[in-house]
Amino acid sequence: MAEAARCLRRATRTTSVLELGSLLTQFLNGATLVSVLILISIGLAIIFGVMGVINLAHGEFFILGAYTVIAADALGLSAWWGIALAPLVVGLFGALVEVGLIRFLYKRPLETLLATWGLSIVIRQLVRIVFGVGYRASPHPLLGDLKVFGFTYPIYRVFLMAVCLAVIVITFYVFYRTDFGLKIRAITQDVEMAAALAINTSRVYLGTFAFGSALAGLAGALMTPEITISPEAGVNFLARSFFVVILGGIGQLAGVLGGALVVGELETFLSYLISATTAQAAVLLIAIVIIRFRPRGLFGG
Amino acid sequence: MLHVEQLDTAYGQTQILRGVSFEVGPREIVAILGRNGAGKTTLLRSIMGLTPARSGRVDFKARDITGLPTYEIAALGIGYVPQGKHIFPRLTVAENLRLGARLQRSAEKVVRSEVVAHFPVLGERLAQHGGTLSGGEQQMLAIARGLVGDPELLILDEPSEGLQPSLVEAIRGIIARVCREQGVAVLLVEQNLDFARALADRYYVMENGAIVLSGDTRELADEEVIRQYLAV
Repeated sequence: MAEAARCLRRATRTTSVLELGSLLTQFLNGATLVSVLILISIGLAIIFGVMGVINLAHGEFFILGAYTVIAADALGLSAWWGIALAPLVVGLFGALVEVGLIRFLYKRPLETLLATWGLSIVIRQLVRIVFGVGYRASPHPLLGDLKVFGFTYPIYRVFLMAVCLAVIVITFYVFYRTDFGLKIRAITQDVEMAAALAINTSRVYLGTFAFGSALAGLAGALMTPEITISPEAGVNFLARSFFVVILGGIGQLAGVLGGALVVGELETFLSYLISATTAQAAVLLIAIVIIRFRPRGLFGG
Repeated sequence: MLHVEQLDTAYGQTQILRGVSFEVGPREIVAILGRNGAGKTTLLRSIMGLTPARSGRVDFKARDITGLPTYEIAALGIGYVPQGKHIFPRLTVAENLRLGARLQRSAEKVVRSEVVAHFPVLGERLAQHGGTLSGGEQQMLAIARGLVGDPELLILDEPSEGLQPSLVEAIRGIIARVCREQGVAVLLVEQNLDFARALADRYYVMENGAIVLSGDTRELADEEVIRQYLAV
């Protein structure tokens, strides 16, 4: 009898440890998604805030980052090289897009929307032509688990979160502590006055667009081992980033953090309980409800 | 210094400026007077390249600046204080001033500059966001920001608008002192006749987008002229 009770007690304890462990795992999975969403959404938000451009090709910039890793692998370079090169390649690509396309459409939001949508189709087709239609396996740079107090978690994801955190800190530093950031904030608040104070607005636009693109590219490169890479993979991330930016409140960097936290963790925990697709639909629904009651976003004034 | 010739500007089909010509000499203070809708603000915006002119020509320091982007025009040495102040509401007073100084100097140097010393109220509010200042303080900030970049020409669009009389007087005194001290030429748009008369050397009167009258402000006392072109 006593033996049985002890057995039962031990079993219960194991279950609760297991549950705690899996809760922590879910939380960290959520945090992984959150950090990647922040990286993508910051670019989307800054580009919109500074230039008034809604970049519908932002999801394609994300997959271009992923395909940079695959291309680097095909050239015999390691995945680390791919991850390091992705923000440079995609940032440069973004700069070319700004000079060749966006520049002609300032102050014309509808045209920009159409142009970037068209650009997203062009990029997807080019990727299909160059890399083929289907899913691509990608090299995994860092296999293995991190073990802390009997709790294990994939070490690559820890690395991924650390990189994202570092980039987010750098972005905030640039935004709030450098002259370039001061120019960006001035333009966001009053573009005509900024120009009348001799700020070269078109150069700031170029820098902003390239920077936002580079962040999306880095996000894509970091996610290559985590998701199935296909030419269409960007659309999903673009949609989530829109939730993030709208939910967080447009025009604030801090809002992006909050929005990403809600979207990423909510989706992860919900897909633990229900199917992943239903979870995404539920997140959209919840986002709509929140926006209904807080039209300026969770963190908008 | 500033030479405007036959400037025509239109918004779409609506012609706003019709062949405006005038000039501002070095160290001179010139006022553009006229009623609401006469085209005064558009004239300043066209000079700054914010509302590009359809035809005509603007020279600054003997250089053709027509059609240049705004930031290049500003970089040549023009400080612009637009109507409604347009300070950056979510930047601090110090950041607003640093932008005025074209980011050429550190915050400490800008704050301790001679120009800012003329605006003691700003010195107490350096870390405050621009949007939290009172209307008068915002106007002080806008003017200080326009001057702290050491321009050769300061363009002021209705600096006295919406301010209580004691502040109007204070602002007039500061503009007169700083501009004479630093040798800055001023192009001033005003509806407040006393303000313009006390500050400016010469005046032009605009009506329906054209200059209809000009002269020395000391001679601007003719009741007939005032009633015809300026009285509401």
